[in-house]
Amino acid sequence: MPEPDPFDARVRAAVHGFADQAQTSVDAAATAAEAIRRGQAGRHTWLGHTVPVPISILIVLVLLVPAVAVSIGVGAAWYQQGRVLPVAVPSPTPSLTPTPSPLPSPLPSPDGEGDEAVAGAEVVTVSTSPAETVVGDVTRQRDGVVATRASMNDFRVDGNGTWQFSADLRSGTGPAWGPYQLETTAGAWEGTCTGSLWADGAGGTRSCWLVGSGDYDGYTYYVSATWSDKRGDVRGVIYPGSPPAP
Amino acid sequence: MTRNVAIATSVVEQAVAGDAIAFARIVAAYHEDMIRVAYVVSGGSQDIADDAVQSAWAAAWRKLGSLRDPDRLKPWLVTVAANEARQLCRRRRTRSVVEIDVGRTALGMADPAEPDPADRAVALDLERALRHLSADERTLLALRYEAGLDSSEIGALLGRPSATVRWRLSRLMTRLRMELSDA
Repeated sequence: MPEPDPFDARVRAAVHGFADQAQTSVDAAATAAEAIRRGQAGRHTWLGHTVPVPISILIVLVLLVPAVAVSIGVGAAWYQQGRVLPVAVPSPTPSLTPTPSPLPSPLPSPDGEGDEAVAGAEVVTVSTSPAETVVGDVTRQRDGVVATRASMNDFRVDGNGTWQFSADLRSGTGPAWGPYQLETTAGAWEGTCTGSLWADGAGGTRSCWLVGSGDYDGYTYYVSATWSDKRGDVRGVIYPGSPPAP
Repeated sequence: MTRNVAIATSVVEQAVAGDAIAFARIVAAYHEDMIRVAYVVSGGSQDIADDAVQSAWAAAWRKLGSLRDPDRLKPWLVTVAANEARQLCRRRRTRSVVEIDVGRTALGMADPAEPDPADRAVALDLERALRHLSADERTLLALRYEAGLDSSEIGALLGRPSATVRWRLSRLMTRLRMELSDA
């Protein structure tokens, strides 16, 4: 069993001693009554059931929805009456043409060659905590390391990454930057990222210009990632050539 | 100190159903724990602690039904109180007045019941350091050391990864060590 840290015990005692100074006496009935009174302002019931919005808003919604539906129906009928509509001729055989999706596919399917728009997800973990110095209200973080595991739709950018980051944070939020390397089975991508961190790094963004090596020699991978609570979305582009000159 | 007061699940269920007396029993059981945590988060402001806990009770009344595990009532309540205190601190941008018990330290009038004046000096330095932390940082310390929650519980209640909580607590302890060694 590990020995308790004496400093940990001192902090615990100090926090308890600090809390001992609080006045904790309470009239429980009065406090509960006041809480219920204040709580009722945010607790709405209808026919004995708790509902998430005030009853007045519910009534407006109940009246508004049929009115909008009627309006749309009347409007559509009027619109159709004013136009000469083609006569629908039923097709003798079912059409084999696929019905287009209401939303276009966001990205083309990758073929793992040449230029490509890529997408995927990543898991982000802090593998080395940064060194910190506090200057005024800025916490300067230097040389922390974030490990990323990207699962992408193109094997060329599917792999493990390392971002050696620095950041200047005010109240846990601020810009971040540093070199990034992504290792994959057939090569690697290296370059620099700039971005931002918030909630002391629990969330962040990162945009990187990465130059390929190994099988990806001569290619550039531009990637943008946004993550929160360890999980992030990744979008990027692979193309032959170099990053643009600044 | 962390108190162990148990409230029966049935009392929680009655309060969820709208029973004001059951709710008052919960208030009587946990108000002290919540005030103590809110007081630490506020950096020693009784006003903020009182207001935060009253707001926390109102929130608890509204949201008690969303508590999945009635056995976790106390951690949930103290976290609600800590969050309310933290938000009040941000709104009021309170700068705490550092109060030091001059009569018992500078004048050397140590209480004979206390073991070692050096320990007391360290405790005072720690208290002073606590007052100079941000409300977010004091929230972590309050939940860890006053409420006795571990990093996983704090993370779950604050909606943050437990690794982040561990990391921030570790950084905090390092800072406190450094500040005290510089003092």
